[in-house]
Amino acid sequence: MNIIETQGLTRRFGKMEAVHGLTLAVPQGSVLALLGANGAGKTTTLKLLMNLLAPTAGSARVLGVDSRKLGEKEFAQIGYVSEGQEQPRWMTVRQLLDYCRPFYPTWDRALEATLLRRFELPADRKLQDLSRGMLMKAALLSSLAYRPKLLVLDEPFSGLDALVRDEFIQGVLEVSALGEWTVVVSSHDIEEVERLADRVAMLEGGRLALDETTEALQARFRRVEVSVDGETAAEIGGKTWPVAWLERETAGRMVRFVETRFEREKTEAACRGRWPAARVTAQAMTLREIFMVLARQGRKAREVAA
Amino acid sequence: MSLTWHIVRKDLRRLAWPWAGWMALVAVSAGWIRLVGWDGANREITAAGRWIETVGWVAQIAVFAVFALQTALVGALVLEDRTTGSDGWWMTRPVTGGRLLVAKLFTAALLFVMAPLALTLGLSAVGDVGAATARSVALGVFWTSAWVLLGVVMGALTAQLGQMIFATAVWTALMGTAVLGTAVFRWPPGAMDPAQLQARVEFASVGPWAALVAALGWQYRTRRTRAAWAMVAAGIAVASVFNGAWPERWLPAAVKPALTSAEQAVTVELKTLVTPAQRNVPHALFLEIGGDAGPGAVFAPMEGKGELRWADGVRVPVSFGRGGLWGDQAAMRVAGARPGGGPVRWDMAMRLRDVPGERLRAGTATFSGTLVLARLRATVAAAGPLRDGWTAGEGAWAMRVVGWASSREPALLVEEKTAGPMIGGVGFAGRFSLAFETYLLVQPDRAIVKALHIRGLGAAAVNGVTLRLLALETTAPMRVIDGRRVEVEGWRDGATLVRVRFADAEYFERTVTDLPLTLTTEEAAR
Repeated sequence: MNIIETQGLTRRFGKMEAVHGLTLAVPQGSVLALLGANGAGKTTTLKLLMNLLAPTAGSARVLGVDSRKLGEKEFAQIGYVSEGQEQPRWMTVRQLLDYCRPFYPTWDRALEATLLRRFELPADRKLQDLSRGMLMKAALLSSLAYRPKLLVLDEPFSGLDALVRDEFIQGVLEVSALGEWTVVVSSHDIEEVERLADRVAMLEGGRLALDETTEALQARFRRVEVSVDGETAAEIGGKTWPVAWLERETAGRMVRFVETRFEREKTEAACRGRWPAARVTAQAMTLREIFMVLARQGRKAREVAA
Repeated sequence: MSLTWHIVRKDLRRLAWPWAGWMALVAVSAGWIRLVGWDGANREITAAGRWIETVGWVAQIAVFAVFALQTALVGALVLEDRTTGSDGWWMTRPVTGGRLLVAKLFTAALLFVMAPLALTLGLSAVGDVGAATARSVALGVFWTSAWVLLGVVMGALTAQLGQMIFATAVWTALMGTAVLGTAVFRWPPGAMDPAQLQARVEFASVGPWAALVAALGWQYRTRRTRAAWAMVAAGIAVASVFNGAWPERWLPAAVKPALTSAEQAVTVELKTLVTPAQRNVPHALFLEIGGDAGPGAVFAPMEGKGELRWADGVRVPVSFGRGGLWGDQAAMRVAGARPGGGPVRWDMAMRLRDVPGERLRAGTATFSGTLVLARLRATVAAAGPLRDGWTAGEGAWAMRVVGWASSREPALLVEEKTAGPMIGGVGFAGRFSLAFETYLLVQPDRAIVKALHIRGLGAAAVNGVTLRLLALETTAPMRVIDGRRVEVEGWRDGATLVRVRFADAEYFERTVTDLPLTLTTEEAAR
């Protein structure tokens, strides 16, 4: 069952199209990292899902309900933490939790106490007196204590130092382990979320460039090195290249590229079809490396289009 | 309901201290105004001038402060959970817009209507409480609620307190212009029948207020702020269009000749024209009108049209209406008092017709034309001229003359004896505008009065039965009179007397022939 489904979701601000025709499905229990450079449309997408913005075209269903019709019942099962979200800063942490509690029938006081202790939040301090990291933790706590079915985190790590970020991630991981929760977390840096995500979606200029599990993604991306004997540099460079081979480089008799549809036999066959004496080695890539390749590719495509 | 109350309690906690400070200001203002009002009554009138003026100013400043702080607090209440933008905390919580709106309205009513009302009632407990007090309370609650509602709407449609206050000011200005525009920009002001003005303002105000309510509901339901603003703007536009379509001028179907209570002709004496002193009043004309208008009543000039003629045959068409001090003068005359024992002149604002090359000249001229006079009477005036002390206004406007201010402009300082809050729970002292009764006399042999249709809820009948919210039509000449609370009181002097409560003058028309006038304007002298 999909917790989130979008169909051709589009949002324009004047002439600028922030999100274009986004069709996406997030299965229940998955942790989706929504990636993209600044301005790629991540926050807009999440705001569309949360009915904070109205779509210009297309639709989204969240927890089986049209996002435009999300009501008290649905929001009682959704946790939303965003860097830009306003907080009642005049309240203390305890007052915030006291205020939130009656709205959620599933509020778990034991979990609240556990998280309060684990996050080391000063309960009697006003939110306005908390550091940025503490404030985000308080927001997370007030969004986790009722065990939401869906947790949406919009750039929760930006501006947090490494230690706080690690604690934050640890908190989400621990809570995620407690139940069948679905998490959508947006970030402009995959390093921040690669520990969390089992699924990755990438936005490029408001369009969905990628949407698959991290396992499948890492399986199909390889950095390939081909040692070519018996051919001149001109012959090597003059070959046509498959579109799935990105960031192609030639250095002497070495050819390097990123294979985006890696299957050992097929990739080797493709190389030998071009260079009969080729020796092929393939290295696995981290999510960060894959993300960087795609980001550079997207930028290049935009420059060409421009 | 429990969750709504949960939100209300949160807002009460949030605003507790600022609101307590505001209530203290309300209490101090109301109490102080009341105290000095009573004290002032016992002072010698001649010595009290500057003191009374100071009291008036301080009272006005206090009322303004209460007013401004109340607006800011209402804004803070709404903006605590703002509905604009996409970053509001409540927007991703299990709180519907409807629930939040109910909570905000309840809190606003509790803090800014009911609480000051209770306080003011407590302060006025020493006075007599009767039907007038009840009406006063209702009126106070109505206006305070309207102002608070405006604050709630503007808070809902803006993102910050500064924007909210700015939007409130702009809406108020636009609303005033749309509703009163014709009267404001029309000159001379006397050409606008005050009765018409009140009715028109009331009708024209319906659109903008209805639009505000609609925009508020829409905003909390959909958070589509631009559409909500469009509704607000449409309301103002409707008022403006309504105003444009409203007949500009209305006079009674049958205007009777100006006669005194002894059936004698009213005398009119034109005094001098003076140097133009105000940029918006080219010339001021003073009139003195003689003749006994009856107990507690006075004849007052409303408007006039005609021409000035000089001995050498030059003629200049002129029109004039009520001048800037007219309201004060009416108040003084009706109250039966005179500042310093001298005559009270009627200030009339005068203008030339818009004919190029026409100028007033110095010297003696004569005026011929038509004057429309009104017989003014205090609404709930006791028989006989009113003296210093208690005068009575209608309903909420029970007033007490405290004394005279001996400043440049003669003025009355009056104390409102209101039981309920006007705005922010405080009555205010200052010049009062007189409330009048209006009688529309329709000659039975030339006109009949019949109800055409009812415009809203209410009963309709003729000859002794109250007609409410209806349109009346008279014949000879055919005129439609829109109004509310119209009562046919019966027959008097062979005429059908229709009492139109919203109107405020009994009109008499007088054709003036060759009244002498000495022109001393600098402009004329040149």
